Amino acid sequence: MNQFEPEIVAFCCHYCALAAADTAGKMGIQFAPNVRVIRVLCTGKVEILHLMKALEAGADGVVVVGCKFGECYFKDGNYRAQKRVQRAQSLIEEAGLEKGRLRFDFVPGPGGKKFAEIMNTMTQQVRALGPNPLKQKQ
Amino acid sequence: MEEKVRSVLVAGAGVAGIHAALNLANLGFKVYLLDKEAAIGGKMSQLYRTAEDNFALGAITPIILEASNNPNIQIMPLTQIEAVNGEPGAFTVSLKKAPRYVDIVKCVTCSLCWRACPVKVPSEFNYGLGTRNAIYMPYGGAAPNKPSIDPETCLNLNGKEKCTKCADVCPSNAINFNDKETMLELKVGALILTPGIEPFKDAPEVKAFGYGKMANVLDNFQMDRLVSIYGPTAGELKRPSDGKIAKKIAFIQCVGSRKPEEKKSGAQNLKYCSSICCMHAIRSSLTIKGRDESNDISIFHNDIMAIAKTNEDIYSEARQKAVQFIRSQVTSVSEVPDTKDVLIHYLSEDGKEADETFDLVVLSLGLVPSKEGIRLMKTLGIKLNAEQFPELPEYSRMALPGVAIAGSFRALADSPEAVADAQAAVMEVVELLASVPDVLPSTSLPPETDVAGGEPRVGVYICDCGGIIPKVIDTDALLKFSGRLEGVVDTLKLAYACQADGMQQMKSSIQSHDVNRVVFVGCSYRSFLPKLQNLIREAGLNKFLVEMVNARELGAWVHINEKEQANERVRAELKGVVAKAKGLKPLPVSIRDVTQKGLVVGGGVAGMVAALSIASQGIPVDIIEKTDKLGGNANRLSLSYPDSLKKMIKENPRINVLYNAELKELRGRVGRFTARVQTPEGGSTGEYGAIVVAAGGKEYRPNEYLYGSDKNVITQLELEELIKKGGPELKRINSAAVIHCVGSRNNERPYCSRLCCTQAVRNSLKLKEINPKVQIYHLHRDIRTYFLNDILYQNAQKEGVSFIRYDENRGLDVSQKGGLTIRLNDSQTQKEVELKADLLILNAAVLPGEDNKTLSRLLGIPLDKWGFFQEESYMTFSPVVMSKKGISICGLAHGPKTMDESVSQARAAAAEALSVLSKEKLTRQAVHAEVNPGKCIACLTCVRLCPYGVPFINEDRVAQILPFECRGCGICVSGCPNDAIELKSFTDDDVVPQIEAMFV
Repeated sequence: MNQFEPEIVAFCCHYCALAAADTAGKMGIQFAPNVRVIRVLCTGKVEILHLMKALEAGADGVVVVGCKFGECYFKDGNYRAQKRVQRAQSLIEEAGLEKGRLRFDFVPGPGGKKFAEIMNTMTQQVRALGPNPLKQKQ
Repeated sequence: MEEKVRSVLVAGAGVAGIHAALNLANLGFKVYLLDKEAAIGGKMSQLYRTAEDNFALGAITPIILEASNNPNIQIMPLTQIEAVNGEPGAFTVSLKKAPRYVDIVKCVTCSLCWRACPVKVPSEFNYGLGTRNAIYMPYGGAAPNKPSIDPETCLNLNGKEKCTKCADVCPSNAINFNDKETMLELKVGALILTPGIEPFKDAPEVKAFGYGKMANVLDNFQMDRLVSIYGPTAGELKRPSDGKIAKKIAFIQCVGSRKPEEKKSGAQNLKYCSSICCMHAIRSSLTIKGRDESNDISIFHNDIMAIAKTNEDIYSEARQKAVQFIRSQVTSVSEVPDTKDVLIHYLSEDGKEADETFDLVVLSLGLVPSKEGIRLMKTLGIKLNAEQFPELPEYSRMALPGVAIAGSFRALADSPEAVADAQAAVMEVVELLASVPDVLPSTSLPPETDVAGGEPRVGVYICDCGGIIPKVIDTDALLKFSGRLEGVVDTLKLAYACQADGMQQMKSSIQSHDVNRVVFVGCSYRSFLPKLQNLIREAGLNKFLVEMVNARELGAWVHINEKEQANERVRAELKGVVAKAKGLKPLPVSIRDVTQKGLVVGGGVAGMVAALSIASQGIPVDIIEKTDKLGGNANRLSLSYPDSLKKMIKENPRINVLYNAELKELRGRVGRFTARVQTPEGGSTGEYGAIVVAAGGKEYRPNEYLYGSDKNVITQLELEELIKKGGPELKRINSAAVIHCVGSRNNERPYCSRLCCTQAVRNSLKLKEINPKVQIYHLHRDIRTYFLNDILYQNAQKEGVSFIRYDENRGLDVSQKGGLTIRLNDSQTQKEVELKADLLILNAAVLPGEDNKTLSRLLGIPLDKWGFFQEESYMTFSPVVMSKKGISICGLAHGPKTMDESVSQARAAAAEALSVLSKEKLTRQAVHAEVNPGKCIACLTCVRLCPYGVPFINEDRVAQILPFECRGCGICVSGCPNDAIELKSFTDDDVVPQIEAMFV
């Protein structure tokens, strides 16, 4: 049997996460192709609504990737994002979903390896959880 | 007298030359960027990875295309300087342009010509590995993206045959065998020469080691092409003799260089160190190890030149990954007859002889100034030193009035340093031409199409990036797929979207299909989005009606083995951005007046140089100096330069120095910063358009080796002070010892302090001058006298200074029994040694300034892990550019460096600051938050949340956010309890459809 390939939405901040993604690319560091990237200018802008919409639409997991703590381009946007992801985690737990379907992580701009690790870790984490039960399959 | 012109000729379009051109164009100069090759990019385009470990081609492509698309830069390939006449401000340059034999206007870069060419010769781009045709492009993304014919190998042009195969297949009649050399003349105000370097293959040692004779002996440049996934073997380490994959590889460092001996006749080995080859070998080793840990790599080396602040980390990483570092002298290299393996015979450091056989051996060749550069120096009458590098005045890049020299041709250095050097040359040229008025024509743009109300018409443009993206992403299938998406009215695939051709094709397609929303699939948002925005603006659309999918950095380069899923991923992201694009709304332009006044933080040498450079353009500058005098660390050195700077500062009416001053607060952003400064007289507030941080560093105060408890133990800087005073105590001593790397290259501070080896060797020579009978011992781990400083090291050895490498694991002990006694383990003899010294000199580490942390917080710019300021190294090669616009960095605040390097960086930082300060207005058109006054309840949440204090409550008692001030993070949006704020281009109406469409 083929192993389950989760589909993961990754909200990536333009300044750190996407710089790290570029670094990963430029250094040729390979990572799981399960993520679908949505560019945001700051993870502090990612609203609970957007995390929920992604799960509702059929994503098996959502990861928010911001700057390293203390190095956020917008000072503390990443702290806000982390708190918001935690809040969303408790909300989806109430709704009967595993909180591991949501994740916040951070990466500094030159962190190509770290970016790839985050994508791989999230993919494995969600693969272990199995498909999103909200997904309506024929 | 001839009229002066505000134009500059930059000769040599490598990474340094291109940066110089961009910097000049930004400061309002007309630039002619010429290169004798058919494509620009220089050595950098041939490299696999840069000093920052990025793919070099990926890193240089954005600046190549920026230069290609800049209306103020005229790129002149195949062109050489023949003669220069006139005077600074009004030179007449005679140029010779070699024929290309291809009409670049007619050519469509379809590749048919070189596929038809019957000639196959070794490819220069691949340093002889792999082949090219007689009509060829050096590499896929070459700029200009057009082929040229090499007349020496073309059968038609060299007269061997009447071959016209390329012309026969050319669809656009672009081949012209009758193309002729042409002469032309240019009027320029100044010249910047960046002609680069080349490997030195003629050294006797290179020949003795079988180079060119043994198939499996390559040079480091060839190895780099072999390692490159864009090279002739796509990164497979196929060895030339039999195509077998090399598993056991040796690098031999310093081949034909760092050899002080002189031969009576014939080619000489080089004396000096080439600075960059150690790190090049280490990086290549890491790449090879990274692909397969079982690859066995040995580096036969002398001293390891890991001198840039991040280098030591990379060196340790290589040791951890089991790269064998063998400190040794290779005595011979020979070929094993049957296998063609290569046998290295060497003397290890302890004097033992050994042999080892390798699949492949790489010789790290010395680097010499390019022949083209030497020719230029002769043409212009610029003197060369004994090592054939140009002779320049101290702390200057100006070889002759109006003629500056920069980059690796001036001094061998890694790419960030070469770029800072080029920017320093730019600054000197700009100072020279300060009084020449700006005459550049302003560009006119078509009016913006009104898209309100109309149906969205999306155009999807997919770039192949010269074949890079289709290696993984099936762009043909993706093109068909995109055509079926709702709202898409135009699709087009491009070979190189970033080239002038590709840009033109997109523009025409947008216009002819009435496209009003653009989606681009190609490379990085960070590097290409600004260019794409300019393009669609030229096509008559608002800059913000565009979205992107990155199929290169986030696709083809990171999912090499998972093609199917990678294609699925790109399709999903494309569906998402097409859905988002349909609802995008235009954003307006806001204008910001620039406060044309500069602020320099720190009054050391770097700060003074930066302030003088800015003031040279008629712009006032404040210097904040925390002590009561200018000069900083330089006050302790025996140099006259700092004093001359102080005098110039004092005499300059535009420069105001605030002494005993401290920055307390900084608000605002590029163009208009407000700084609150505390001085003993009280607090004051000033407005500045741009800031240069030159906060300096300091010498480590050792707590080892009896420093502080024995007065005969001093630091290198303290010795410098004694020498400055010509102290009689130095005449009385019989012996002195120098301990290197005190407080650096250790666990706490892994970086190399870079300047101390050279400073110590120079001071030892001075000590020998003052007191010829003094016996001096240097106790070291590596002697890092990079580049020409190596000759000082050799001179010191000639003068009888002893250099003893000690075993760092067994440590070094200093005691006081009957005078200073040093015990150590000599790595060479493996024996314990005891030395007596009247004076012990410690090469104390360079530390970041203690204020860096505070400044980092106040200025909002990051520090690296050692506490120096961290440059933005992704978007630019320049080490002075910070992630926050309007702030540049220089000197020891950025990391350990010599005085000359600090001066060069200070000019570069001033050039960056002037790119803001020389303008009256900056325009900004960016994503910003907007308050809906009808919904705002003035709860102050946004005022509280904004990291930059932008929102305020206006006269109507509602929150207001000024578009110019807003940085577009959207934190206020997600925090607003009443949903009264939206972030333009990232509203729920933009993002929710994007999320949903990905799963349809």
